[in-house]
Amino acid sequence: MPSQITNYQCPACTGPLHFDSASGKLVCDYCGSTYTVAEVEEYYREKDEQAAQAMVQEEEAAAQESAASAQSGTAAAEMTASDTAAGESVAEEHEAEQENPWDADGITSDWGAEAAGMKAYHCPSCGAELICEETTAATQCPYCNNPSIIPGQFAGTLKPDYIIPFKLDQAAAENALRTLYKGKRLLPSAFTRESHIREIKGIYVPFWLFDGEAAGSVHFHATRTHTYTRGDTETTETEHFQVERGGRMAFSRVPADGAKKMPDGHMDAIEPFHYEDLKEFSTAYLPGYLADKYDVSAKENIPRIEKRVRSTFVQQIEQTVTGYGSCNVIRENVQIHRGKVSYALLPVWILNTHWDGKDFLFAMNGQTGKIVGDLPVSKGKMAAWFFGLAGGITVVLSLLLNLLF
Amino acid sequence: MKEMKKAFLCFAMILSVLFLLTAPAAVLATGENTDYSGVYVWDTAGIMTEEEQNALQEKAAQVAADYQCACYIVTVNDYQDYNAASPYDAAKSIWQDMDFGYGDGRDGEMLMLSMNDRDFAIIAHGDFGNMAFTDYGKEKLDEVYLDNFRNNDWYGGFSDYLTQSEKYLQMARDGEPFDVDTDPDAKSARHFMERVIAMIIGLIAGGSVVGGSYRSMKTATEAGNANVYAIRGSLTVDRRRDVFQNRTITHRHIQRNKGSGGGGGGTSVDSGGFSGHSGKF
Repeated sequence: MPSQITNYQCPACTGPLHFDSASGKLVCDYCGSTYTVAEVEEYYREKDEQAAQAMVQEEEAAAQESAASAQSGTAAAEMTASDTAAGESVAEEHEAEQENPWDADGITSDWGAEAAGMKAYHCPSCGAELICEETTAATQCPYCNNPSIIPGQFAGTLKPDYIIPFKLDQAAAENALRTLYKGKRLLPSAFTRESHIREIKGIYVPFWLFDGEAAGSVHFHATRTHTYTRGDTETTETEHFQVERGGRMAFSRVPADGAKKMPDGHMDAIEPFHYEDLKEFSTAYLPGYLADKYDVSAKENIPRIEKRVRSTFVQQIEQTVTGYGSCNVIRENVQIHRGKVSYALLPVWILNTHWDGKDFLFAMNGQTGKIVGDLPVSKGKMAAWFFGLAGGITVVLSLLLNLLF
Repeated sequence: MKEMKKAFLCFAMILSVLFLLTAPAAVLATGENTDYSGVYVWDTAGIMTEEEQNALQEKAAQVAADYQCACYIVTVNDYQDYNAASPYDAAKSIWQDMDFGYGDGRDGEMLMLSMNDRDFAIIAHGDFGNMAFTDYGKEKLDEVYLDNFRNNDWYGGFSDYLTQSEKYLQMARDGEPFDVDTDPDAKSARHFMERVIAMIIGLIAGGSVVGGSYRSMKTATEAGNANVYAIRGSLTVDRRRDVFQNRTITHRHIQRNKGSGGGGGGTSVDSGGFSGHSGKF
């Protein structure tokens, strides 16, 4: 378990810092000071070194103190008069509790299966105990609201290669959701009025980015048709061809999310991310947002990625088959040559709404603002639109046909 | 021509004698100078009773008087007796030889049955006659009497012919001759089809719009391709093989519309001023 938890504090006033998506800097919530990511990294590097030195010194001092206290054991047992009185009072309370005890039989330290996925940390700001999921890497203390980072989650091989910092803030996410509702003719009227955002959170979602190459051949059945008329007979000649095309094509950074709790549909649909904003990973981008480490490995994502890559390769190859009237794939033989896999944290706003006893999940790309999610459909409105349109068009067309013919 | 006229008159005379030559329909000429202008029923094949002929003659005369357009009924044993290549040609010959038609324009219509091989011909003549009895009108007229003739109901068929012809003449007088565009039955059938087509288009359009709206409600879908991540210009094709396998040939007969009429209506009139057709019953 990572024992260390970091709370980025303002070097000027020690207030909590959070990453500001608009400026791309860390901002102090109290004094308003701003710092670049590089400045904060440098500051905390020095601070960590000083803390490490102080810890060594503290441990040495503690060792000396424990040796000295062992020698003067009896002196420590002496109590003053006031201490005695206080001791008596405590003893009385203890006796009363024994006579009328609280039923604590149900309390257990055993967390059962849930414990396997949970971890406890202490907030460095207020000392509260934070119970987090095993994959949590950045969170916010529910007591003091300070953003906290668990750097150990990103240590060693778990360290992401890249990060795309948030560009859009919570207000933009809320606006995007309202915009998503607009113009939706099948959305129940009550949904817009009654549904409330239960939860909105900015999350750095772990993504695997796959480089690779698709190579192989695709076989098609293609036809070329020629029609001519002689007298009262129309003749159609169709030439049938077996067409084969082989080749290769490179792909770069095809993403697949590495978080079990993120629905694949939502994560695919908010693509694409613009990779020109990719930065070298730093925990300094995390304050103010939640972050998870991956719990779906790159290997587990390979079938999903290869399916997408194979589909695009076949489509592109098919476009090279020209000069035919029709072209259909008969069979394909495509191999995927696997390249480099990178690990990146990408910004996603997750919005949860509740209406009519159901939860609705929306995801917004924290970089581009693309928002996706499944909205409820009013069956009444769907029927009204269908029959209204069909009836209206039927009447108008009938009148037009009557006028024309 | 004269011989044909004589032959026709001869047949008519014999039959008229047989039917006592009393009814107007059976009154046939006894000489070249006889005026036949008021006779509209010529049953030379002798397939109707005297009463039937009289009834038809009376009705045809009334129609001619009301609309200045004659509607003739002619039955012959064999149209080939008139040295004609077809029942249609025979009908034209009889019309010309008998100087049929109403007024100076010789407007009128004639339905002829040739009993030997159960042939029929219907022709129209004159500006008003051809206007009133369009090609489409004459085809629809067939449906009115052929079912009777197929059951040897001669009087019923001719009676229906006169009744329907009177309707056509009334429509022509009103300036809307019975045609593809003015046929009330065809019109209602066409309107029904138009409504069905409009409804199908309406349903498809409504379904497409609502389907599109439904899809816009469900935007969290897994990606099916990696198009965005393909490195531009990295596609290299190093194997191209196009092998011809076989050739299939299909033929389709093109249905072409008969006659003129620009859009399926009107009357096709030949150089003799006649329009019409012939067939079997």
